[in-house]
Amino acid sequence: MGVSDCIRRMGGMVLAAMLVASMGMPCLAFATDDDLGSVDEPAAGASGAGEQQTTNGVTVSSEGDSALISGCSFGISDFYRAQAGSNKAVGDRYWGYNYYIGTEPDNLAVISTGAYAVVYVPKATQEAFGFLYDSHNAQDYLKRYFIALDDVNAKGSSRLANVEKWYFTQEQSYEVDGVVFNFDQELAEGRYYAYVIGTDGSDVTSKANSDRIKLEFADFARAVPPSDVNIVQATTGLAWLGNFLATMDYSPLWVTLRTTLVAIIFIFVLGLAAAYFTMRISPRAQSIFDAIFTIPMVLPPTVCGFLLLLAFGRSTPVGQWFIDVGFPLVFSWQATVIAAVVVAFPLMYRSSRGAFENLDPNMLDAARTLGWSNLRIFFKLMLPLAWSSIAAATVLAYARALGEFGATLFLAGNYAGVTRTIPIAIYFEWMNGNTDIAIFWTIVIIIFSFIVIMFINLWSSRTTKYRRRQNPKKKRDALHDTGAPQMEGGLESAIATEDAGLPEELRP
Amino acid sequence: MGKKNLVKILTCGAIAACLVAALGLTACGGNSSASSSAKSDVELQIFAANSLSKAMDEAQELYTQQTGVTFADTQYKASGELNEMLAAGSYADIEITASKGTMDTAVEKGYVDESTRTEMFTNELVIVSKQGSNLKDVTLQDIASGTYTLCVGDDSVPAGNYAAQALSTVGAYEPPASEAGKTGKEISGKDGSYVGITPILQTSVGNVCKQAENGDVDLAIVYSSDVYRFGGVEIVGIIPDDTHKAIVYPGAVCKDSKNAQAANEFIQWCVTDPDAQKIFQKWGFDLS
Repeated sequence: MGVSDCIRRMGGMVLAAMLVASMGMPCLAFATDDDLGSVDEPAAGASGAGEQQTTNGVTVSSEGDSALISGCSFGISDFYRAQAGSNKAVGDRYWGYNYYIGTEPDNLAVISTGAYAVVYVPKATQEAFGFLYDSHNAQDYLKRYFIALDDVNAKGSSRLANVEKWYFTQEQSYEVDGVVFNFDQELAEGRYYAYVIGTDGSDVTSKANSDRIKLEFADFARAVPPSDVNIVQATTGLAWLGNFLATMDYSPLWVTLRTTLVAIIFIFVLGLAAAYFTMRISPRAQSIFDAIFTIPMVLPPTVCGFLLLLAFGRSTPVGQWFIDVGFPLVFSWQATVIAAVVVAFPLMYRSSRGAFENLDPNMLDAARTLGWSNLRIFFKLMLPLAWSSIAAATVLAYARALGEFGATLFLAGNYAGVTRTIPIAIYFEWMNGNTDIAIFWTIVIIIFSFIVIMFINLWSSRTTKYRRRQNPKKKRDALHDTGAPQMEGGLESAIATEDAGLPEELRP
Repeated sequence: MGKKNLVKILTCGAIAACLVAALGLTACGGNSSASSSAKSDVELQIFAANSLSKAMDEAQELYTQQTGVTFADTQYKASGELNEMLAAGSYADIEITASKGTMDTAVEKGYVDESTRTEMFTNELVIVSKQGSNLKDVTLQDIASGTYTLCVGDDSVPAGNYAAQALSTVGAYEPPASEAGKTGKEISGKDGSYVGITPILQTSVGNVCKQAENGDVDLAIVYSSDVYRFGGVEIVGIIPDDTHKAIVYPGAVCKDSKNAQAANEFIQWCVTDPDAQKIFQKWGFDLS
């Protein structure tokens, strides 16, 4: 491998990273649009004022809580949509179906039944902004304000825009067909409510009531001088990305790194020990132990997780003992380590065993005739000679531990900051509607995995080069037979077959 | 020549790895300092029905501001799964499920203290589809006819049980032998089988809603509160509330709770405080 090779590889790496990034960006941009709840029909009378959302002449803040119509004597702030209310008593008395508005009186209010909407315009508001609730002009402004804001906040449920019949009132109590709508009611001290009740004090949402109506939703807002309306523009592009990264919860990354770094120590030691152990027992016992050590690799991770849960759960003596000594194994961060170790261990074990088996037995025998102890042979001869394969195996096992999902979810659950690793975060963020965060973690994992595989490739190409220089004519036939120890050749061939322990697809 | 380059590449890789690690460390540092600044000796662990996720997060934030009581990462899972987690030995102070049946199980198995059981919220079942699907007024009969692909919750998901109860009234769901001949409210909606339709089963009502949002299925049966929770779906049909059991969310303090008093206070706050009501009505939960 020459300089050009290296450059090409670097170029490829950069390209791939750019590809990943470019794939990610549109998705992220798309996700913002979603989050802001884009208005259904922006075409109707859109004034095209830059990034602002303008519907039917109404400019709506990106947060969906305030709006402004240019030329109107008032603007809207503190818009709030209640999808449901409560049929409970307030204080000690039943008031009907009620909505809590807030601690301030004089709120504009709309209560919709689907068939009609009742709009309440407080007298104080009319005086303050110099309009009359029954003037055509004022009603038009109010309708436009409420429909535009409601559309942003409805999110797929019933829309105020679909309501055909509108009633406007300035009275605190307003009756429609045996149903009384009450607004601006101080039902508890300093607490303002709106409530709906039958003229006879009955529950209008009850099936037994002949005047039964379906209360779909209610909208509340405050009228303010236009200069007080704070229209927040939607952040886009880099500003959005910066904000996204700044407000992001990075704990899954930390949990993942902590888990995998602790796990890899266990995997390294246990994997080497298991490989050394199986090499020194009879072939029959060897095949049995080999099957036991390898089986977590072929079992579905959920099976591993389930078995671990059965073994270490609260209902077993083992699990109970660990709980008693204050070191609970399930649903704790230790559990993530256990799951990662069990699932990634076979990779380490198999690769290092392959590497050990490919060492020249004559050389080990020679060491023994020199009076070396087994321990010394292991640390001074076997480890250094097989080091390249072992290092690659460690990286591979690390990558596997990094991606562990099934067993971790079973045994450790999903506690943010404790057991929520990146793979689990991706699943749960998606499930909770935070697609952009899921995409972020996906990109992180892809880049991370890419780096790991690149590292293995570079590592093994280095060893290949070493072999070529040492033994240019050596055939690579022996590499295809990883199981059988190689008899011929000396130290050089032992080094030459170092990377035979790597899994097939990772060999140069 | 090649070797030098390799060293360079490896160094680059190492630096990148260090950067990632440093990012993780600083992020962690930020987190731990943030959590330690909110001084309170009580931290509540809540297990809540999946549908409550956004509303409960907001309520907890407000409660922390008002009282200083903090919350461990709340688990929002299917109610059946919450019971399984308690059975497996996980710790919780409060459990809130989405059906009386699942809470009955928790009481029976001794996971919660029955005396603290409170009916907290009610909800509605609706039929949703991906936004802009142009479907309208879809009924249970339409679903039973098999014209649409459907997603519902599995047996551990109360929303799936309610959906099964509703579908049994139009013959699209066959209850198990122990409930033979019964339909609607009278069945549990578990252990039966769907007739004439093969709905996709999901493990939480959130996942059910996601399937509809992604357009993987034409229709999904979810709570009306899920529509506001995720966006991206629209209500295309209402399920009559007499075809299934009343949707009630009972909450109770867990038997093992070390903060039983504080836990009970939080449950009561959720159902009585006006500011809590404002949050729950915004997310579509009727206070029961």
